[in-house]
Amino acid sequence: MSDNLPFELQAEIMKRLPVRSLIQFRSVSKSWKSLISSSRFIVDYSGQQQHLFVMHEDDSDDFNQQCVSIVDDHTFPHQRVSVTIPPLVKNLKDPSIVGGSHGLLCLYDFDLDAKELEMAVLWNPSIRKAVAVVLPNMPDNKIYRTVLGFGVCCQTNDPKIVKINHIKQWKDVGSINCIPSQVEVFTLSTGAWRSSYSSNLPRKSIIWFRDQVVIDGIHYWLATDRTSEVSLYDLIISFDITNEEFKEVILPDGLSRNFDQHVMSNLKNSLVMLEFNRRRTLYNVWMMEDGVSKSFTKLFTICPPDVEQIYVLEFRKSGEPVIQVRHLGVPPDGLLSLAVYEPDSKDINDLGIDGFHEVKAYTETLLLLDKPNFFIYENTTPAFEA
Amino acid sequence: MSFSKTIMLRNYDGETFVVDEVVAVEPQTIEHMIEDGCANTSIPLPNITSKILSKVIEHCKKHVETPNSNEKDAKADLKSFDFDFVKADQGTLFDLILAVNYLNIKGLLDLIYQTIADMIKGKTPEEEEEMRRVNAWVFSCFVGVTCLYFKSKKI
Repeated sequence: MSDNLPFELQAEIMKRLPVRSLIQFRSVSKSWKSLISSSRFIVDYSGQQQHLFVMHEDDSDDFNQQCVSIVDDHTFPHQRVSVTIPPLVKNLKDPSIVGGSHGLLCLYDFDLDAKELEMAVLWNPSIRKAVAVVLPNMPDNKIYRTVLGFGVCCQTNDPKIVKINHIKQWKDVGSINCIPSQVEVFTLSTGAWRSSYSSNLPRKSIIWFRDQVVIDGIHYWLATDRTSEVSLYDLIISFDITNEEFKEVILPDGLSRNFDQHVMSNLKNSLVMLEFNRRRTLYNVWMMEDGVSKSFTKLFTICPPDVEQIYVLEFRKSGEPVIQVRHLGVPPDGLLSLAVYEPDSKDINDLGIDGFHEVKAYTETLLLLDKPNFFIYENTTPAFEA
Repeated sequence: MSFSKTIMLRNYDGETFVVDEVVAVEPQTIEHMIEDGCANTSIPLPNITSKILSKVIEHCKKHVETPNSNEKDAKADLKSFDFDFVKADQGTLFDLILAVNYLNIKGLLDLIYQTIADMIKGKTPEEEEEMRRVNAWVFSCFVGVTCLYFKSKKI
């Protein structure tokens, strides 16, 4: 038997390579270049290792954001790489991460040049590619507020941005029959916005919070439903990226109210609610059970000793929380340190990145490889609805 | 003592291998052949040499014999076996891929693919040049390979 290899088996080997190697190997031969750049391969490829993406800035007068990516495996936190911020992101006034899914990040804010334009930027830090999407039909911000969601459809691997408008104040809820452009969806494959084809749009009495988590193709937001000016109940609203259906989970009494003391997160691919005390020195981690009942179980408590304050930002693949810490003695406006908390030993392992941080776990992807870099999607008219 | 069933595999070199059925069904291809009733005398595997077939049988045997427990020792033992198993030259590894792909043994296929991927990723420019040279023969023979591959699939 001669020692050579059919093409489809070579592809199996390629699937197991990191993105950096794949980008390099496009130059090795024509057949490898065409394989790696094929839309089938781009869509099927999924990185094997989890990374942590950290966006941080120090508290200096000069606005100076930096990004670093750290491999989340047994070498953590030593394998780290600086990530260049693309011009599209730098062109946002004060960008924040809307969400991350399938290795893509979505950031949002006003455009620095065209000040009335609001933009979302989809960024693949693994291959240094970004595209921007202009947000259309933004309603009067005295009456409405907008939340964004970002996720990649599990079936088609098509990135989708969802834009939801809701009524800010209870006094306006009665007078408004129909929220304009209430739920709109942008799909990268079409490059256009359209109304969501959901059959159950959210009630106009619902008010949304920005905090968003995407797990297994479902968006989750915290929200409150106002049945009167004073009566309200808290929910988790889910939005299925593939079929665009909304569902609600009413939160149990123990976890509701005090939404300013709750945040959602993704722990080992399950939705968890983090409930924290006012001083932010203690976090209870509650997991939402699957199935019809959707009950919550308390998993554990994060309570590091000798700290002024902590913010739990993300979880490592192994489950340890990635936290921002204000150490004892640091004033309230002082710099925060980024660290990993080990619940067993109660150690706080500093990552050496001080400042203000946003952190997202991600795995490498080739999505956006076939898109023109720095392209701006400006189709502001919704696609024709059949 | 119960009589454990054995299966006969006859390969490219005409050699016959007698294997316990429980080991022989690790490859899905053989499992399906047995289910379809094609295994009355011996199962023909004309596209696999003795050297490769005996290696594959060795791997299947080891994985079948090791208890499927979460016990640290058993896992470490298997890991160390796998680690040594793939310390073969590239030619053998590529022959193994073709055979294991035909026989459809998922676990072993994953192991070999991952081994080769680890060999070629993350190279310095000098190492990349070496890899380029090595891989030149991989797909310079691509055209010839495809013909050979399809030819060899005829049973």
